[in-house]
Amino acid sequence: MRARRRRRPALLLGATALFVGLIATIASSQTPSPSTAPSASGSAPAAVGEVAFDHTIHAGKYGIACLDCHAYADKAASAGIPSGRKCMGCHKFVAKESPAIQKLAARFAEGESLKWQRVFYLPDYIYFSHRMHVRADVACSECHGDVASMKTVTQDRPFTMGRCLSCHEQRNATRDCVGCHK
Amino acid sequence: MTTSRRGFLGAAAGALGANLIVGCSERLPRYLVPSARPSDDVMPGVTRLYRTVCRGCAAACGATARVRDGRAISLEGNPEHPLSGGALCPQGQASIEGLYAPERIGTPRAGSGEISWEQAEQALADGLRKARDAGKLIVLLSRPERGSMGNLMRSWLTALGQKPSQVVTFDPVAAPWVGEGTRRAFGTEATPVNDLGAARFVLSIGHDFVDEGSPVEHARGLADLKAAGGRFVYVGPRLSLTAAAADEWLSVAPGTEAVLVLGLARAVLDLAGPAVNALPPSVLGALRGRLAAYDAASVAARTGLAAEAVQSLAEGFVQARPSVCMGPGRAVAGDNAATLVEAVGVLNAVAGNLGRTVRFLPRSQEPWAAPSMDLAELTRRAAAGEVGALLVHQANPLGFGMAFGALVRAMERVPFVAAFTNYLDETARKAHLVLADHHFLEAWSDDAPRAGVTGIQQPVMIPVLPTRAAADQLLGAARALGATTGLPSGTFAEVVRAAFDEKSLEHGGRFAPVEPEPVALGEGALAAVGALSLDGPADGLPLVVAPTLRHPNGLVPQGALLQEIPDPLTRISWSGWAELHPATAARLGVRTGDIVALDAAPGHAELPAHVTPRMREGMVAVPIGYAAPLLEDRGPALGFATRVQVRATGRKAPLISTREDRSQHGRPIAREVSRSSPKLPVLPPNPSMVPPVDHPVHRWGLAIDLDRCNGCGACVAACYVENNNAIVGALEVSRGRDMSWLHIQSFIEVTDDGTRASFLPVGCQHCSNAPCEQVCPAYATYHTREGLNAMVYARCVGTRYCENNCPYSARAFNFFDHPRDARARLGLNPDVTVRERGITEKCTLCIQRIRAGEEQAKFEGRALRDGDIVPACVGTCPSRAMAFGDLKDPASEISRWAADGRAYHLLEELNTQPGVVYLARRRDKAST
Repeated sequence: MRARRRRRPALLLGATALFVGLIATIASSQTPSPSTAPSASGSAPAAVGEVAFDHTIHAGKYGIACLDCHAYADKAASAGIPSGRKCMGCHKFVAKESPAIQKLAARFAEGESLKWQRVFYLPDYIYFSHRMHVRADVACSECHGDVASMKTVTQDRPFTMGRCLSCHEQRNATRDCVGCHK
Repeated sequence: MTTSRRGFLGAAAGALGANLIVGCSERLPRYLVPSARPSDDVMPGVTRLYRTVCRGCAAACGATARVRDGRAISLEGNPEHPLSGGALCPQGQASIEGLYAPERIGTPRAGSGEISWEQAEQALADGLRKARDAGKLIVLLSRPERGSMGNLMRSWLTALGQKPSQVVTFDPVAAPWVGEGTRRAFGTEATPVNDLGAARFVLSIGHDFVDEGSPVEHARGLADLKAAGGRFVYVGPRLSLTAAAADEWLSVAPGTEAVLVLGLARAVLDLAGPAVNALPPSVLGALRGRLAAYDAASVAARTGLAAEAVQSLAEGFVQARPSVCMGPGRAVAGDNAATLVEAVGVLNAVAGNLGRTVRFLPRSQEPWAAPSMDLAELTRRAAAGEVGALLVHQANPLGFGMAFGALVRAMERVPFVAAFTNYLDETARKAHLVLADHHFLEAWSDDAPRAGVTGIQQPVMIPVLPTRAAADQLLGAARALGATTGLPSGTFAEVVRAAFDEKSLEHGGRFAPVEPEPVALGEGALAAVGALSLDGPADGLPLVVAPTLRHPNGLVPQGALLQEIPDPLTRISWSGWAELHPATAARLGVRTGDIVALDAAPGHAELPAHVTPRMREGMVAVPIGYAAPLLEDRGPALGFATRVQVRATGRKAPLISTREDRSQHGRPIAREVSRSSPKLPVLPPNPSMVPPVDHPVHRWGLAIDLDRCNGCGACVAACYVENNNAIVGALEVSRGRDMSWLHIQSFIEVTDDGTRASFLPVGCQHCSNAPCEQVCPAYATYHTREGLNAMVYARCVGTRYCENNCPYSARAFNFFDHPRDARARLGLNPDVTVRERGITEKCTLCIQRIRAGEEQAKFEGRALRDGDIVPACVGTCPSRAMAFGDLKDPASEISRWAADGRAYHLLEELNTQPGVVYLARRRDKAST
C-alpha cells in the first residue's frame, strides 16, 4: 500500500516531464529564439570546416603560438579566427601544392576567407573576455585542451558554470553572477 | 517490467533534455567566417566610435556612432559639437532604427515594381532628358541641405542648363516668420540665435524650444539657466514640455500674444534703461508713437492678464540682465507671426539683449545659401505646366495632404517625378521613379546648421541594403546627359572628403565661433503694427499645433520606437489625440477617450480626446503629426493658426496609455523645494531589522536632477536602443505590457499657483534593501557587491513575485517573444542578451558598460576614474540632468550631487535604501 502511494506521484511527474519535453520541442522548433543556450556538457562531435586544418602541424610540429593566429585573444573579448591574409602570409610560400592550400588561395583571390567549423560555444547570455583570461595567465589549454595534439579539434572538457566557478574560486576572480551573465 | 521512481524520473529528464537539445542545435551558427583582409585597427567585438551628424531632423546635431563588427548599434552625441554638446534627443536616439527598419527599401522602383539600378539610372536620365529637350524646368525639392549637397545641387542644375536657384527647400517645421520679422525690425538677413545659458530671464512667446527646432542645445541652455538661478516664463495656450519647465506659465487670449509683447516693450521703454537711452532719438520717437496704444491697462484688457502681472513681467525682464525673449513658436504662430517677431526683436533691443543673448549670425556665403525658388513659386510654375522634372530628395510633401495641397495638385502636372527616399512613403508611391537612398549613417555629406558650425556626416558602416547615394545618382544622370561642366568627375563622397582634413573628421566637423553682425533697430521697426488684426474667424475653437519631439519633421515617424515611447505629458503612445480643457470638454460633452470630430476649412480629422487642465479653455491642441489634415495650405511651413469645429462623435477609442495616474495623491514623490530655501528637511534614518549591506569597493548609483530634467524622454529612447528592449506594439502597450526599463512618470496637478507638470524618470532604484530580492524564489535577482540590483535571466522562472513587490513598478515581464527579422537583428547590441518570453527584466544601470569600464581600467592597470562609465541614459541626456558614478567615492560627481540639500530617495519611508538619488526641483513656491 505504502509503495503504491509512493509510486503514483513519481509516474505522474515522469509523464509530465515527458509531456513538457515534447511541448518544449514543438515550441522551440516553431519560435526560434536567438538566446537559447547550446549544450555545454562537452565532447562535441568532431567536425571539419572547409579544409581539414590540422593543429598538430601548426601548433604541434612547428610550434606556432596560439596568439600568432588567434591574434585578438590578448587584446579583445573575442580571440579571433585567422583571416585569409594571415593564412596566406605563410602559405604564399609554404605547401603551395597542397589542394587545401590551393583552395585557400583561390578563396583569398576572390577576397574571401575560408569558413571555419565552430567547435567551442558559450551561451549567448554569457559574457566572456579572452583578453582578461590571457592577462590572468590562464593557459589556453586550460579550457581548450591540448589543441597542439589534436588533428581535429574537439571540445574535450565541459564548458559548464561549475568549471568556470571552480577556477574563479581558486584564483579569487569574480563570483558575481553578472560578472559573466549578461 | 518494473520501473523504479528514480529510474523513471531519470529517463523522463533525459528525454526532456534530448528534446531540448534537438530543439536548440539547429539554431547555432555552425561556421566562423573571418574577414579576408581585416583592417588593422578593427577588432572583432570591439566598439569603435565614429563622429558624424544626426539627420533625424533639420537641427543636424553632432553625433557619435557606436559601431560593432561593422554595424552601427547606437548613436550618442558629439561632445565637441556646439549644438549637441554630447547629447541627443529622442529622435536622434531613434534614428538608428531607420537603418534596419523592415519597411526600408533597398532597390529602386518604377510603377509598381522593383527595377534594377541600371534601369533606374536609365529612367532618371531619360526623364531629365525629356524635360530638358522640351525646354521645361528641372527642379529639386529637398530637405534643408546646408553644405556640399546644397552646393552640388546648384552646380548640377547649372550643368544641366537650368538656373541654380531651382533648388526648393521643403521644411514643414521651419519658422519662416522669423526671417520676415527680423528683416522688418532690423533690416538684416542675418539669423538671430538665442543664447539661453547666458540669460538670467527667459520669456518664451509660445516657443516650444525644447520640443522642436534645436532641442538638445536649448534643453542644455535652459537647464543651465535654471541652475544659475535664472527665471523662465512661458506664455502660450498649452502647458507644453517647454512650458512645464518654466517657473511660470501664463496664457493670454488667443491671438493676443503680440499685444502682450508690445505692451512689455512699451513698459520697458517707460522704464528707460541704458539700452533705451542709447537708441537714436528718431528710432525712440517712432517706437514711442507706435507703442503708445499698448499701455498696461489696455494690454491687460485685451490679453486677459492682470495689469500688475504685465508690469511685473516687464520689470523682471529689464532687471535680470541679460534677459531674452524668444518666439513666437508654432503654437501661437498666426497671421501676426512676423509682426510678433518684430515685437520680440524690439523688446530684446530695448531691454539691451542684442549682442548678449540675441546674436545675429551672418548668412553663409556658400552657394547653397543663395536665394532660391520658394515653395509658392514651384507650386505656381508646376501648376502652369512649366516644370518638366521634379526630383524630390528626402522629403515627403504628399504625407501632409491638404496642408501642402496646392503643391500636391501641382505635382500631378509634372510629367516626371523622382523620389530619393529610404521608405515607400506617400510621395514615393506617387512618384514615377523611386531611388532608394542611403541612410545618413551610410553616406558622406555635411551640414552647417548655423554659421561657424559645420558637421561632417561620415558613413559609419557599409550600406545594409543595395542602396545608392542620391548625389551620385544626380552626377551619373548628368554624365549620361553629357552635362558635366563644373561637376566633380568622381563621387560625391570624394567631394566631401576633399573638403575636410583628417583632423576635422576626427572632431566631427569644423567649429569656430563666428563674430556676430552688429545689428540695431531701424526706424521702420513696427511700422505695420497699426494693421495688426487680432480677430480671426469667429466660429470654432482656435487650433494649437503642438510641436513634439516625437514628430520631429511634422509627421508621425516611420519607426516604431518613437510611437511606442509614450508622450511624456499625456502618457499616450501609438495614437494621436486632441487636447481639451475640462471646461471646454464638458461644454462639448466629451470625456477622455471619446472620439471627437475636428472640422476645419481644409479638412477633417477624428481623434480621441485627452481632457487636461494643461490647455487653455476654449481651444484645442493637436500634436503636429496629426494636425496636417486640418491645416490650410498657407505656405512653406505648418502651424499658422486656424479654427476648427469640434464635436463629439459618440464613439470611443480607449487611449493607449500606461501609468496614467497623474496625481501624487499628496505624497512627496516628485519633490520640490522653494527657491528661497532650496533644502529638503533631513529625515532621521529608518530603523532596520536587517544589517546594512556592505559594498566593499564601489556602490554604483544614479542621480537625477529634477530641476534640470524637462521630461523629454531621450533617456528612455537611449535605454531601448542600448538594451535591446522589445517594442511590443499598441495592443500590448494598452495592456500595460510595455518593456521599457525607464519611464517618465509625469504628474499634472492643479495647485493654487495654477497647473503644473512634474517629471520623474523612474527605473530600477537599485535598492540595498530591495523588496524584489527578498521574494525571488530562484535567486534570479540579487544585490551585487557593487550595489547593483542584478538580474540573472538564466535563473528567472517568471514567477513575477519581484514585479509585484517592487514599489517603483520598475520591472517588466516578457509575456511574449518579440521576434525581429534578420535585418533588425543586425542592430542589436551584442553586449546585452535578448530576453525571451517568460522572464522579468529591468534597468541594469547598463551593466555591460560598467563591466567594460572596469575591465578596461583593469586591463590598463589603473584605478577606475569617475566618468569612465556612462550609462546610455546619462550619456544622451540633453539637459545633463543625470549623473552616474560611485557613491562611495566622495570626490565623484554623483557624491557631490547626493550631498546636495535637494537630494532625496524615492519613497524613502519604505526603507528600500535606493542607489538612485533625486534632486528636488526648485519652484517659486514648493508644493511637496
